[in-house]
Amino acid sequence: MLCLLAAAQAVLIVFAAASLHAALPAVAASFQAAHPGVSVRFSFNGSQILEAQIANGAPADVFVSADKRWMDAAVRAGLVVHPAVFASNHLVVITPPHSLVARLADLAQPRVRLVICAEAVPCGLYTRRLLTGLERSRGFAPGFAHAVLTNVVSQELDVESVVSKVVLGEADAGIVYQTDARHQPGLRVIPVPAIPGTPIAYYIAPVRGRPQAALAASFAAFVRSAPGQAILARYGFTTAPR
Amino acid sequence: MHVRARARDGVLGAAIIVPSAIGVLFIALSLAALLVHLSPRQLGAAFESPIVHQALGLSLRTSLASTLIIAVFGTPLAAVLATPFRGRGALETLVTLPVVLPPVVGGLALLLAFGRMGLLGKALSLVGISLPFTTAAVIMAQVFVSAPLYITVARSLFAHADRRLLEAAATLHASRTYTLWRVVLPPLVPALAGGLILAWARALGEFGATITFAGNLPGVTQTMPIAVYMAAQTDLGSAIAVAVALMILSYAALVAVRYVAGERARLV
Repeated sequence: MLCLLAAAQAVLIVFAAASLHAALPAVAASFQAAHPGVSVRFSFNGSQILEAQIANGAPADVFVSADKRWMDAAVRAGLVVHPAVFASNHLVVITPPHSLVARLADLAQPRVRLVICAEAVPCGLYTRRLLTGLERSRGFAPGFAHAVLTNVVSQELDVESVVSKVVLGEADAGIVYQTDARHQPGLRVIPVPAIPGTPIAYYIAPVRGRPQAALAASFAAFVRSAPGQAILARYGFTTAPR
Repeated sequence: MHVRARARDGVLGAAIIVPSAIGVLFIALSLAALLVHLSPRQLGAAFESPIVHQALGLSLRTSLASTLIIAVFGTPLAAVLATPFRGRGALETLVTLPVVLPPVVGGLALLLAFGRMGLLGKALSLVGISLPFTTAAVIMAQVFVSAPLYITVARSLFAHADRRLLEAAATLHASRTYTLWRVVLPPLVPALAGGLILAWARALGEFGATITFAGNLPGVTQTMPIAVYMAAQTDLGSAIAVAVALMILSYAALVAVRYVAGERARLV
């Protein structure tokens, strides 16, 4: 009985990138089913904010980052151990049903109101890489990236805010992860070709020096296991080659 | 007898001084933590950074504009709310509501009302006016969030205006408008200014409604609080420097305004 009570109190706190807010709890539900007595709790936010919170002593057992930059920062600061890639994503352009933007090239048209993520946020970094990548490799006119960036009317702090401004019709277009564009009624999605050398990779790592280290490692392993990857795929993530 | 009275005074004095000291410490310690974190060189660099200049200029312009709007529209409204009439309670609650709403919700409400697809925004966009993502949107967000603070203060001042003055004015057959402007208002000006400072300070620190309704673009809608938050995403050091710059300037501005408003600035 005592043992059962003790087991029921095992709580794993996962600090995860905001774009995983739907998929990761589904993975955790399956993990909990396989580990009775374990309760996984999440704090979703921008990876950059989570990294700063962990650096300042926030009680996270697992850190999940939407880009390499912030996982690298956590590794350099000695906050986490054994980071591993577990999924990837793609950017798409979303527009309201009636928009000035019908295809990718239209993003550079004058008077387009474009909303993207701020550069500090992973999706913002990826967006800028994508635009310069498109200009270099896809035969867009020189100055395409610059023209698109001058159409930006707002740099949002997370993908959700980009989606909501397009859903509300305030922006003519937004650039978001394909996983955020799914199941949004009233949005048109313009696919974006993959640009070599601009991967969007999600990293997971147990936080160093926490009492639940073994459990954290086993959760990270579960996310990368076949069942975990199958759930992520259901939410539109491209699963990682292992 | 004397001794006992003194002891009682001592206990009462402690009951005032101890909580006051804890209150001051709570605020001062948190603000001091920002200063301790910072070298003078970092602070100097923060004052010279173009982002700070841009954001600071925008913050000052927008918050002053919204304070002016609040004074012009809020003062008559507060005077109306101070007079008894049917439905006054409901109206007063409505006007106070933005204080308790999370600012992000306020921003969303503004977007749904004045956005391109909004209730009123749709009509506005037909005549070529588009508010979201503009500096005007920043001012609207600030007014929405901070006006209730001023209106609440002003209403209470009007409601407790000296009855004898009103009666004296009435016996002299002064009109109600004349009484309001020339009798009720003048002695209240310093206290009303205090209410305006409160609203201005809230407007200067506004974040949630602004980023939701006006977005974030340097030079257009990126006010100081948003610039601090953006800086904190990548470099906590520079964010703290920017925050301290904002704090020093806010303090200076508050002292200056208090001085101008006739209340002697004793805390410099």
